[in-house]
Amino acid sequence: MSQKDPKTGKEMQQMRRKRNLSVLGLIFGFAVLIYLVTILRMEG
Amino acid sequence: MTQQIIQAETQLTVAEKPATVGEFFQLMKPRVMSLVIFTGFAGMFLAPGSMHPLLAAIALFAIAAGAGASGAINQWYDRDIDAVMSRTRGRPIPAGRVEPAEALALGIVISFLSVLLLTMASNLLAGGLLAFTIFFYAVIYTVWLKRSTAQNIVIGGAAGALPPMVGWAAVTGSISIEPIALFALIFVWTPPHFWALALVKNDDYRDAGVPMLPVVAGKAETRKQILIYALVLAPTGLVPYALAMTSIGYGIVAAVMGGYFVYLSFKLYRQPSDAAAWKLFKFSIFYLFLLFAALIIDRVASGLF
Repeated sequence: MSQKDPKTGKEMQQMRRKRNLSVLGLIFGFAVLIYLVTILRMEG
Repeated sequence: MTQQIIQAETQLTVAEKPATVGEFFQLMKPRVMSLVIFTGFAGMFLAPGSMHPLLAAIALFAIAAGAGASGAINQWYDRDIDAVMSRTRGRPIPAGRVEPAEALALGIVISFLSVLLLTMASNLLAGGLLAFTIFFYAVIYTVWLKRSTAQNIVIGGAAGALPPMVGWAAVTGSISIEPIALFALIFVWTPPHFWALALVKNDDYRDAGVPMLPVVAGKAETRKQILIYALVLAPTGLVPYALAMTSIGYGIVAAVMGGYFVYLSFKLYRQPSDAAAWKLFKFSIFYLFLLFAALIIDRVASGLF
């Protein structure tokens, strides 16, 4: 497991931002997959 | 033990440093997810019928995501005992890298999304089975069985055994004797696998107050139970061949591997040592991997010749 520690407040903010964007990306990824499944099933 | 848990909890209450993406991923138990992907894929691949390749890939992703989500809920609930055990104290929550509430939220949200996605990509039966798997692992095993009975991993093993059945149901929309045979194989494999680990990590489990069989009944009884389960596992591995799901090729692999599993268990029973238990634990992982690989290869080969 990574143990990279932020050294400054800015670094900490960047890490948090990266983490939040990843969570957003994950949720968005699910949304895309659900859309894709709908299209594929509509095509039969 | 209680004081150890309280001390550990004080250390881990607040994550002072934000978690990295990798640490969030660690919450989902990637090694368990890889096994779920493999066995789930085997269930899909062996099932009669066909599925759009992209839908099949999405269904497999949903099964893996569901398994990962239940792993996150498990790590949220077990954060107190994880902090005590050497094997688990580096996990994101006890290490103070991820807030418990974040892990729980991630687990719940992905659980719902994965069940929804699988239901849409395949059918309601597969989605329902995935929901049951998540519930069984996160609630029945983690919350109830794990801390209350030495039979925790015997009954709880059902959660780990369900993915091939989910994969089969995703393709066929039904359950028959064949996926039940795959379920039985993992179900019977689970106790000797985890008891071999528990023999080596006995002190950890005792300190954390987890009633694993070696803690409750002693190491001698555990070795006896491992041997009994190995004797049941060897023929269980042959059931797919007996059901004419495979050719003799798989049957030979299953017989040889089952025989060696029994041999290692017998050796552990007669000449107890941590090294023997660890050898059996490592072999048990290889055993399950090879048998499912053999099932897949056997099916590929039957299509070629």
